[in-house]
Amino acid sequence: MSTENLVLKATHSAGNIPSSSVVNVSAEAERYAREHSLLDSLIVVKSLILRDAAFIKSVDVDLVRDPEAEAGFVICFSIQTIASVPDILEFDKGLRNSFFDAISADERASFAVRFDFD
Amino acid sequence: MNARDFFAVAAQFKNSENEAERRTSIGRSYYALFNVVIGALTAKGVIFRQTPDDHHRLVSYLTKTRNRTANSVGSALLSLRTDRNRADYEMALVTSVRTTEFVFQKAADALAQFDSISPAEMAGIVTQIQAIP
Repeated sequence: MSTENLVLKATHSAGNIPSSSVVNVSAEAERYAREHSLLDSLIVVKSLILRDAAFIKSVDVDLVRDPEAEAGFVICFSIQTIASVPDILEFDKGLRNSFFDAISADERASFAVRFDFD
Repeated sequence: MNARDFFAVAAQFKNSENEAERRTSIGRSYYALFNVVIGALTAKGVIFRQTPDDHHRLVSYLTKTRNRTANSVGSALLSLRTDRNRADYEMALVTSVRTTEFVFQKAADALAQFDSISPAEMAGIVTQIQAIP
């Protein structure tokens, strides 16, 4: 099974996912996760995001680089949402709290989660 | 200057009809939080290198501590940095009013979290950061 299929399998096992939810993992993000042993954490982050997926329109997972820094490759989850700003603020705070419990200390700085609103 | 004053600029432009002003708001929101946090840690003896890599160094330090609040602030900084980079470098993307409002409020909330760290907790955070190889 390919990594992408593994990721999507994790997505669908997360439950409560509306049929309109679309998760796209770029080839660059997948390759980077594989090369840096971040694949398990990537799947965990995805599952944490999709635990409460009712407000999610789509999720794009990309490898992004800080244009001003030597270091700074990050796997970025960009979530397109239909929810309100207060609802997403609460969700985002809970998600960051979950990172502390679910992702190892050495890997937390490898994942960013950002939101775009319709 | 007090970096918290950046929030006043961010607030002024976060609902602007002008997208350039909304992008300015996102940048000021991020830099308010970044400068307050890095300034506070520097004042406690944490050494930074005064280079652009300090942005990710700060996130790495905070997210490697055993303090839950510091971790949350670090994760917020990382995500807000990506928002700021998009605002300043990705001209093809549209930055909506609601996205700008979210970034502003997220930065303000993360700053409130950072401010809630007690002196004893902060001393522990600094000790843990200074022990990072």
